Amino acid sequence: MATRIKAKVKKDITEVKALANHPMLSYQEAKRANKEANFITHFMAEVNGKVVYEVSTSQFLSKDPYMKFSFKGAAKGDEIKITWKDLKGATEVETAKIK
Amino acid sequence: MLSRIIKSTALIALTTCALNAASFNAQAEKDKAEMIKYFEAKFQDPEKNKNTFFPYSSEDELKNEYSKGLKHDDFGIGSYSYAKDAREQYEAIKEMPPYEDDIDAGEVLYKKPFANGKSIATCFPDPAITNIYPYFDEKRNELISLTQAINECITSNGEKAWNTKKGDMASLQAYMALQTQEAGKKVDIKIQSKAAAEAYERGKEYYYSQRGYLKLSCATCHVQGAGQRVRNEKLSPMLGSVTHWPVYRLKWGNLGTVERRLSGCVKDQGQVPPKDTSAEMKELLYYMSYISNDMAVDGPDIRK
Repeated sequence: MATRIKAKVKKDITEVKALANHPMLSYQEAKRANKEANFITHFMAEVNGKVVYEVSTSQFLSKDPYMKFSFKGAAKGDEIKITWKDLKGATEVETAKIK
Repeated sequence: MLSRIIKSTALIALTTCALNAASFNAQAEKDKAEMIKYFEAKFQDPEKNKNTFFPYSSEDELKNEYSKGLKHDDFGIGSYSYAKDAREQYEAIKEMPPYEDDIDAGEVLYKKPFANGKSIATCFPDPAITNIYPYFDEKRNELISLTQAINECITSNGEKAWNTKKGDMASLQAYMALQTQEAGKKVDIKIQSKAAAEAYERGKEYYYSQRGYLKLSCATCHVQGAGQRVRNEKLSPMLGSVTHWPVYRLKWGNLGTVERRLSGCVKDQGQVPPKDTSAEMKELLYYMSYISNDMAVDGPDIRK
């Protein structure tokens, strides 16, 4: 269930594309499918210890959510760490190097 | 009864005429050239061509929502070649396509050894070969589709055959299609015998036969109707319809083979679809693939 991260820096702006693997079942969908509702509730990206992207999410996102964001101040070779938590309490941390 | 005799005689006469040509693919080459000419003419300028090709569209729609000046190879991405808004959505999703994990899974399946030690790699030493399927096997006197070839590899090595519509079959095909695309290969279907030409003709007849409760043929929507709007989407073109398989269809939420889509479409028309490895399905694929000859393989891909 790895999260795919693509991070590229150009001039001073780093653009990150991240795809998290998660079924993201809303309460209604879960009831229909007879499964338990579960979705990512918090998504955060850190570079060099500083938080560069943070978002609270809910059932409005669909399966395998794709996040795309940019920020300044990172260099090639820096490591970006992405952490997400879901409704049931599971956490996933994934890192990648900025190219 | 009489009309059926006349129809079958006419068909035989036509077939014989076509086959008396110098090579067996003469008719197919003509069909392909005609199809390319039609699509290039249609999408040269939808706004100007309203009366010939788009009688039911509004001028506003044709002006703002369609791309123009499309050429042969452009049609590989289906309706996204001419539907501007859908094209934007398509390119956004291609930045991080959801089938990347399936490609990795496909690579694992390609190399994974069976109980007897061999693997799919033993049957297909070069994975970049999706562009030659389906081909006509003269010795066996039948068409061989990619799905069939993969399952024959698996069962001849003592394993259980895979589902032909999704799952492992789709993942493996995604890996092989990507290799084919990266090798820069083009669709390369051959007709080298009378029997092969006849199979092509049967596939063509299936494509143009009206079926189901709305009496629609494949051509009604994907040749005549290509580019026209149904609800909120524009119908995809026949040219290039086989280049991009397997496809992650957002509606399915996962990857599917070309057989999955074709049988789904036939079912939508209200008819029982041919089985995935039946002669009918393979002949249909043979016809569709030949028409898309010389187009770049761009699988796997994403569609709505």
